[in-house]
Amino acid sequence: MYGEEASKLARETKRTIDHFPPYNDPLVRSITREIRHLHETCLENHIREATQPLTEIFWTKYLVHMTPLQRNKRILMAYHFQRIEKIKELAWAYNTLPESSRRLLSPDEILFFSEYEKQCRNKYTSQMEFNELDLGLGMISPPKEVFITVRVLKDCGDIVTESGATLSLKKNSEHFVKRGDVERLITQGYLVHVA
Amino acid sequence: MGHVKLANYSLAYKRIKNAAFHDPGTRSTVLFFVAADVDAICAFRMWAMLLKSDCISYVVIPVASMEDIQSEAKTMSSSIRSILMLNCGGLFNLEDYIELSEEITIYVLDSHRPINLRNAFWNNEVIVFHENDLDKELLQEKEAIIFTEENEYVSRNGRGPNSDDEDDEDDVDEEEAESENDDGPNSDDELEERHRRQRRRTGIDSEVVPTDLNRQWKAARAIVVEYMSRGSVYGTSISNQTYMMATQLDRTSTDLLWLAIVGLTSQYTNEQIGHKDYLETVQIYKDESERLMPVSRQARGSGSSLPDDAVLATVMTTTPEDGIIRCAEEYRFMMVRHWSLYESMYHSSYVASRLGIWREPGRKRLQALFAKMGFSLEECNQVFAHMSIDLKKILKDRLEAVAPEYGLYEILYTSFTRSYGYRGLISASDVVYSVTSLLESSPEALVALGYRSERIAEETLGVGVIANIGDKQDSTANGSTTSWWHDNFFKACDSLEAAGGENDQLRQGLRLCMEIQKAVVRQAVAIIEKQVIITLSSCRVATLKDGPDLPIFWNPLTLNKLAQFLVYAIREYGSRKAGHKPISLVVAVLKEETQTFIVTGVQGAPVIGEVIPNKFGAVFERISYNEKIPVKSLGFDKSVIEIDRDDLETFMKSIGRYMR
Repeated sequence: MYGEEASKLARETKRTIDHFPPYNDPLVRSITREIRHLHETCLENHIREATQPLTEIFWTKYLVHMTPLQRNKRILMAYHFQRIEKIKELAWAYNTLPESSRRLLSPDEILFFSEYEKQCRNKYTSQMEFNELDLGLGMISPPKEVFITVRVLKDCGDIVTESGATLSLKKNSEHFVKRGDVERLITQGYLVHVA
Repeated sequence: MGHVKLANYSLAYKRIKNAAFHDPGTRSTVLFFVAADVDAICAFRMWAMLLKSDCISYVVIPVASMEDIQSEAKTMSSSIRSILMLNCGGLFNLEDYIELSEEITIYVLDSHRPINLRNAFWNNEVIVFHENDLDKELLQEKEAIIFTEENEYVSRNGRGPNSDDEDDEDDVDEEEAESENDDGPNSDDELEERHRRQRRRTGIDSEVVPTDLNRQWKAARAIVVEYMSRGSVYGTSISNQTYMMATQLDRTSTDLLWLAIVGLTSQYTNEQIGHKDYLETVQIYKDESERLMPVSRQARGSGSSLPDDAVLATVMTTTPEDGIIRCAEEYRFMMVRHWSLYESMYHSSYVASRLGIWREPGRKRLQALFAKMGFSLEECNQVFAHMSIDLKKILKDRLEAVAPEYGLYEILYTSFTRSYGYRGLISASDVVYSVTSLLESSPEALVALGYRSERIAEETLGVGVIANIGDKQDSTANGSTTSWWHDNFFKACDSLEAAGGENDQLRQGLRLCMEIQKAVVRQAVAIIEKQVIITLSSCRVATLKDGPDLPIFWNPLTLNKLAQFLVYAIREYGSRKAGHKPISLVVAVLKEETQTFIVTGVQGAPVIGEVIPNKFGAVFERISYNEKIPVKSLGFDKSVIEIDRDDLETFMKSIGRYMR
């Protein structure tokens, strides 16, 4: 039956509104296949009947094929829109995709992520359009505290803090530092913020 | 300064604070070196809380050995003004490991005793926290160390060239003494260096009559050597000391108190402090816990009127009162709230050794105990939470009535429990067991315990470590060791957070601990059954060379558990001839990969609840020095070492000679 696969996807979209499942490639593929098939049938009909005057039968057939086609398209778009919104959120939060979410994205989505990330981060910050405001910090809500505790996941060497002191961030150490000094490193995945 | 007594701890804290805010523009940092034991982690968390509320930034580096400290100290950032050493470094002359400078002050908070005299009395850049007044307690030693340090050069130089032979003799003597005092890797170079420095400093005094001085110097040296070879004991837990400091600063809170209790309990369950000292501190904490209890509860008076808080554990969880600490009688068997009653009793050293569960009659006795109490075995094998409530209510009374018949007189002891909100009630000893297990479980041990590697990756070590396990084969063994070890450290840190950590690390630790404890008992029973323990004139020796559980005991903490269990067993069922002598036991475990043996020495007091100095640290050191056996010290206690496989025989033979 036409539209059955698509309704599966619609249900999935609705179900996964709060979390981020892996990209459902097989289902999307089968839906696009169906769309192609519907489109071809429509076209064939049209060519065959084109010479004759348009009958009621023709319109019925057309409707039967066209409605599921359009429905399928809408569902696909809804599905992808929801995913893109989520990827955008990810892009604001991380500089590079964390390995755990990389597995959930399709190749195209990964491409989108990196492009979008580049856009939202580098464009504004490099042109200094917002002066010192760094849009790429991944922080949407205001910070609760000035000092935070971070653990170092990868060696970052010495960094110079705002106050002029040096801070040597070596792997496997825990630091209690000013948020502003290390914010960038957290989004880049060198540090992890612990409560 | 050199050292600070308990009454002045708050001054030391203020000094740290002042140093942190000294330069108006640039903020400086406090550096923590934290050893991987429960007490140190508790103390660290307390310090962190205090510093956080003062907005002082800090850095934490977990360390496993003095070499770690040495290498980390070399590369530390320039903004550090204070270094705090928690449960590490107190036994060593820090001058050899960290370059001292006027700008940096090193604070040593270590429960290992005897403390290094040079740290306490000689170096002004080092400040040793000590619960007693060192000026009074170690008056003789203080004078001796200062005398030897001031006059070292004079005594050597003052002699004429014709007294060469005497010189030589003295040289040996001194070097030996030095090796006692500070076994730095480059002890000799350091020594030379120091002499040169002293030469400059005290060169003027060289006219003093040398022979007299020489005699004095030797006498002073003897005092120092005697002091160092008294054997290692433990002082008050450093979390307790930190809590006392917080009291002086008026900054106590329920969280701090709980950490202090956990630190204290860890010392008690590891037999580091005696029963008397324990009870003294418990009394203080009991008062504190009542003081810190929310007022509304006190008004209702329900805190004390509820009977058997411990037993009603699971019932009480319905009230969402997070973080209430109550003083309660605790059983001397482990994790009873999370295990089944039978397993818990079977696997804890106190009950197991008293009943002798390694033989069939012993196991029968345990079953008979349950029968007398009127508990069906079926119920006892249930997970405690699923045991019938009626039984839980009468458990304490019945146990108190029946246990003495089986020689279990001290089945209950005073401890504390804390409500973790909806996650249930956890006793201080449970936390200790859990955190210890989190610390000690290496990937190899986990594999030996039957955890599949994927599960290790996901469940116990976090996703980040997958890579490490994956490329463990090609990376150096050392590299992967540090990595899992650090992860464990921070995991243990997290588990002490409110409600047992974000991912409930505390529970994971408890589950791990059950597995490890099972392995410990299994191994101990095997040792006793196969009669692996050889009795020498002065000590007993057990050498483990094969078995599936071997990797578990590579960790000093677990090895110590095994040794303690054996000490308990020997105490009850060892040869009666021994009478009331201390039980000295050396356990060596083969580490196949590196072809080394991990050796630990423990000394058990003849009576439960007492602690006697452990001389093995000094003995091991002397053997290694005199027999030229290279020894790698594991951790900050000198009584756990790693030696080459081929050296074991010589080493074991020498132990008898050096133990007097």
